[in-house]
Amino acid sequence: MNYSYSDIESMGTVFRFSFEQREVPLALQLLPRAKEILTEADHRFSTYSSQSEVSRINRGELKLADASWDLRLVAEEADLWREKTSGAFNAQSPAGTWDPSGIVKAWATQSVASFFEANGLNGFTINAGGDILLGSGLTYPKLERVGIANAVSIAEASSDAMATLDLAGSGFRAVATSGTAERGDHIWGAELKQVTVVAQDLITADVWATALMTNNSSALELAEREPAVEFMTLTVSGEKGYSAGFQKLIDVGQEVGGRNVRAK
Amino acid sequence: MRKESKLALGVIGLSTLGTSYLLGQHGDAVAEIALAPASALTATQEPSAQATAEPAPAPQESSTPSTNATAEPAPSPEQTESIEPAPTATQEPQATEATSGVSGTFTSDAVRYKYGTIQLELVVSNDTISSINLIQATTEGRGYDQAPPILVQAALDANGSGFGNLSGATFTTQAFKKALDNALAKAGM
Repeated sequence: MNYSYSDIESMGTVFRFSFEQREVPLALQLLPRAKEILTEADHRFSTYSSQSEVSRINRGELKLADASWDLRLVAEEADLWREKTSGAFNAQSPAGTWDPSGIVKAWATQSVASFFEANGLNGFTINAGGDILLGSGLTYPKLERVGIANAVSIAEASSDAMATLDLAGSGFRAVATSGTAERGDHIWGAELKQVTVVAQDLITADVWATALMTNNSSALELAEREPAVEFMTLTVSGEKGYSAGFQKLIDVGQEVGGRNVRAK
Repeated sequence: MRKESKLALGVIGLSTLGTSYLLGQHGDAVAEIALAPASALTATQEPSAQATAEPAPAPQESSTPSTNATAEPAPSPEQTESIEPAPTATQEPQATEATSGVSGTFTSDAVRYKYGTIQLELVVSNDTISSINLIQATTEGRGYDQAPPILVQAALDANGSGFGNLSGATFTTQAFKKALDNALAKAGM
C-alpha cells in the first residue's frame, strides 16, 4: 500500500483524507475526532440550519460577544481578510446577512490539520471539496502533487487536470481553486473562469481564490504583493495567466505556457 | 451587485460514478478499511504491488477503532456511512424495484437558492437513473464554495496518474439536492 484514504461528508461537500501508509494506525485513532471537528463547525456555522449560531446571530437572537469562542475567532479572521483583500473577500452577504461560509470550510480543514499535527500525524492530505491541504511530513511524491481541474464545472472536472503542481520542497502546503458560472467579471479586460491559488495554509489560499474571482482588479495587485501567495487565472476564452512564481510550481513535463500576470 | 448568468453543465453519468467506486481503476490498487461507523479508510497501492485490495465486503463491526486496527479490505461504498453519493448512486435503482419500469426524462423545478438557481434533468431508464443533467446552475456571489457531494465525489475520484488530489471549483449543494428530490418525485421514484 502506498496510501489510504477516507471520505467524510460534511458542510455540503466531501472531505477526502489521504494518509501515507505509515500513518494509518494513528489515522484510525484520529479520524473520528476529525469528523467531529467538521460536524461541530457545520452545526455552528451553517447558514442552512436555523439553529446554528450564525443563523441566530442573523436573527438578532445572539450577540457576537456572547457567541462561542470558535465563532468569534472566525468572525475576527473574516474581518481581517476583508481588510487584507480590500473588501474583495467579505463575509457580509449581498442580502446583508453575515455569512462566513466562504472561510469556514478552510478554517475547519486547517483545524483538523492542526489536530493531526499536534498528535504527531503529518503524512496526510486533506481534499476539502477541491481545496487541498498537505501535511508537513509527506514523503510519498504523488501526494505532494496536486492537479488543477480543467474547468469550472465539476462535471467536466472529472476528465483530467490542466496542470499538475509539485509542491515538494516548495514550502507551499495549500491549493484552492474558485470558479464561477457568473459572467461579467472583468479583470484586465478578460472574464475569469477559474482561479487557483497556492499558499502556505488553506485559509490564505481559499480567501485569495475567492477574492480574485470577484470583480476587483485591486485584489490581483494585492495578491501579487503577498510574498507567499502564487496564483493562476483562467479566462472564459481559455487564456491562462500566472503570478510571477506560479509556473515554477508546475510539474515538469506538464502544461506550461501562458503569460505572466502583471497587475496594472 | 454582480450579474447572474447561466452555464450549461456537462452530463454526469451516474453509471460512471458507480464505476469510480470500483477500486484500483486508475493504476492504484485500492482497499477500504472499515474504521468506525463514522469513517472508513481506503488504501491505495501502485499496480506493481500486491493487490490485496479486492472488494471483500466484510464490514468491521467494532465501533471503536483500536490502536492496532488492521487494514481490512472492505471497499464497498455502501459500508461507509460517511459517503452520501454512493447510496444515491446505487440505492435509487434498488428503491424502485417494487415499481415497474419507470423510464423517461424528468425535469426538476428551477430551484432558487441564495446565490442563484439550479435546475436539473433526470434521465431514467427502466427504474435506473442513467444520467443527471444540470440544465442551469447559476451562482451569484460566493456560492461556488460548496458542491453537490455526488459531483464532488466524481471529482475526487478523478485521480490522475500523476497527482494525489485534484483542486477544482465547485457548486452549491443544498439546492442540487432539492432539485434532485424534485425530479425524483416527478419520476415517482
